[in-house]
Amino acid sequence: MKARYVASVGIAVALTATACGSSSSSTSASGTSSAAATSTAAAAATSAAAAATSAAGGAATSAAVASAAPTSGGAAVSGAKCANGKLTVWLMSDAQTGWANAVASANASFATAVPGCTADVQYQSWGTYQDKLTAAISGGQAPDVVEFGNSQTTKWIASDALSDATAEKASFDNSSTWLSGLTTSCVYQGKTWCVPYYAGTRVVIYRKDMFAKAGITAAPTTYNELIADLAKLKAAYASTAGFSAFYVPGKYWYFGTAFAADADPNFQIATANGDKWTANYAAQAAALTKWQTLVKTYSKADPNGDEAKQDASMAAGNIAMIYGNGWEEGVVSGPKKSGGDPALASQLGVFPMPSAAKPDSTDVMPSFVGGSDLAVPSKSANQAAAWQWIKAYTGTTAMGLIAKAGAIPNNTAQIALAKADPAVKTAATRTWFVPIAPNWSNVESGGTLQDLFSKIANGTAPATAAAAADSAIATTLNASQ
Amino acid sequence: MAVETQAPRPAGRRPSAPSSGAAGGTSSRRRLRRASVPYLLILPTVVVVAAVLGYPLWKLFDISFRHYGFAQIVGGKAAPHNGLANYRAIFDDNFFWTVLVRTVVWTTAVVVATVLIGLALALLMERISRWARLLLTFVLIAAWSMPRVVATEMWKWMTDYQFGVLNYSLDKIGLHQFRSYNWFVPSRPLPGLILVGIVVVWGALPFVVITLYASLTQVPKELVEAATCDGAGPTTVFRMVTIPILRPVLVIVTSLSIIWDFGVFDQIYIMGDNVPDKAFWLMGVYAYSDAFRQGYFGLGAAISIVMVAVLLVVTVFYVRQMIRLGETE
Repeated sequence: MKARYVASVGIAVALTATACGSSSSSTSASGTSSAAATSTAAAAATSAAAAATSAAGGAATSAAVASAAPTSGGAAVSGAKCANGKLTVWLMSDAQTGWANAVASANASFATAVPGCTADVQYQSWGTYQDKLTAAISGGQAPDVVEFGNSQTTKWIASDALSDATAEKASFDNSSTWLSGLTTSCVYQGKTWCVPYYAGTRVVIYRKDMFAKAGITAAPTTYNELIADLAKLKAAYASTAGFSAFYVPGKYWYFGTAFAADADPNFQIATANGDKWTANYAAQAAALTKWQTLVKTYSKADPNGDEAKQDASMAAGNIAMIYGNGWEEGVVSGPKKSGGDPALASQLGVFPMPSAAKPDSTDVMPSFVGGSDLAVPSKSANQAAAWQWIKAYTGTTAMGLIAKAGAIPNNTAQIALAKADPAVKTAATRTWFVPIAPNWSNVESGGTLQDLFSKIANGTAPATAAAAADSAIATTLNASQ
Repeated sequence: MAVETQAPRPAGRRPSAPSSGAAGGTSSRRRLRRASVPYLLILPTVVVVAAVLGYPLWKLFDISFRHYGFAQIVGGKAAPHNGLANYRAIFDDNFFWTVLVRTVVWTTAVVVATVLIGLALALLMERISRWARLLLTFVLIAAWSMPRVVATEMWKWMTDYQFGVLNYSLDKIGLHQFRSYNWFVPSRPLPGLILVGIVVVWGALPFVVITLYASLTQVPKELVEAATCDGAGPTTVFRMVTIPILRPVLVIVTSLSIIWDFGVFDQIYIMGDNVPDKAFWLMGVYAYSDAFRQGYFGLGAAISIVMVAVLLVVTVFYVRQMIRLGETE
């Protein structure tokens, strides 16, 4: 998942307060579902029509309310119903800030497909949604549609918390060309449990003006060129205190692991033999040493810090390069009040991280496929309607809007639409992903990986740190559910 | 709670005590009715406390004896009893004892600092001029009224590695090793734990100072004067007059501080970027991480039960003091 832990800690405290109440078992989950209120249908239909007409830029849905003409994106009347005329949808706030028009478009075609039901889209934050969801499901208030970071899905699938999407799959637009990196995260024991939503890959974001000052004319295409450029930058800014030619916080495990995946195309953080998991970082100690050298030589970032503040740090100056999601370029040059610096807009560029394993080739380093999936909790009272909403939101029309907003759409058929820079698309050609293990989420949240790379950045021998991390990862993955 | 160690003298409120010998036993029914009134009056409170505190506590106790994981809470799988397995798992884990010892030591240090600084400030307030006292009270109230999460987030900003004003100031006064200084490094956890301690003391001081000051105003001037006439110096007056009068309040303030600090959570969690390293875990964070982060709710419940047991010991002193206070009135 995208490590975008916004400072929204307030809810965490509220959560500890709900902890006691959340134990009130699961008996009430189905109790509310039977009250399919048709009385509100008329009111909901009119508001849906209003939503449809206001959804500018959407499909030709505005006139479709009465005629129910079948169009793309699942706008035909489906026969699905929902309790109380409302379908609760949890999306991450990225949709709100990035592609609200796609959400509006999906809501409009959903209103056509399921008359009398309005989608209530509630925006969540990455840092806390899993705790909130745990509390909501155990309290019998499960939302109908939930967005998951793609490295978190397996834990929920393995816990029987999500509904089987295998039967529905064929009816989704473009399901035959779903991105493999996202599809992988939705398949467990041969069945499909969620629907790919969108993806992002990581690239190097750099300052053109600093490159120019160091006498560099073009972005590097090989690792050796990158290292040479870093040396030039370091020399050109030798008198600037705290200057980072390449800013890499120590806990940035997405970057460090990319070096391991680069060295061995078959690299997996952990592999299973039967039910027994073993972790494989120690075997890539040489690749981790390359990362260590890069960090220790060219980064003045906090070796014990994480990447949450790297965009704000780059906007503040003294940093020539960072490794981040394609969209982070926009954050660095974003408004001052959100930590960016608009003056940098014309000075930023991106290029794919070159392969360190083949330092003279133009191969790119594999990038973690960050991304999101959409799923229906098994305790949702409105299963059929929920699938209809996902169908509308991942339909060709809405996906086109998401792609135009800068994200990588969920299928290869529409990838050409993506506004994203060519560098982002090149980076997407080689990818790596986390193990599909029920306990994987615990490894991420337990801080083992952050600790591993923080130690390496602080100077611990990679082989030593990796051996300790491997044993900790294996223990977590092998723990009983 | 079995606390009433020193049998209370028959205070009038005890319903079973024969109220007055002369009029005794005209009608046993009336006596019964009169005797039941206090119970009826306290019934609503008992019901509310049982619902709000008793039920969650029972549920916590129950879960601590079950295999209760993530699949049980979101997937509705059965949660079988597993006897003492959860307790055995934590007691066999060296890390549990590390955290427990760390928590006890940390809590002791923080509580001692809170009470000593609080007492010093309360004594100061008694001696300074009116406007200075008002100013100090205002500052204390301002610190008190700030939501804890917001305040902690501010502290986090102030101690930031790169942008923090604390590191900046330390660098400016010549301590250049603080120019880029991370307060939370797992291999040397002391600075981080001290920093969290400072934040906790800062947040606790307003209550302690204002309570102790209010109590100080109750020290009769005549007593102080009499002691001074008998030749007692300021230290002796403080030791022999002020402290004995303050003692009940001091005991209460200390007990409450222990209870609050032992379960500290927000400050560590927030200052540790929501994923505090294990080197900074205290009991509250430990229980939370096992339950909510790792999904082992049974283990988390068992840790919480152990915390409740430890705090019950502290509560004994608190409740005993409360009972004594009740008696003297």
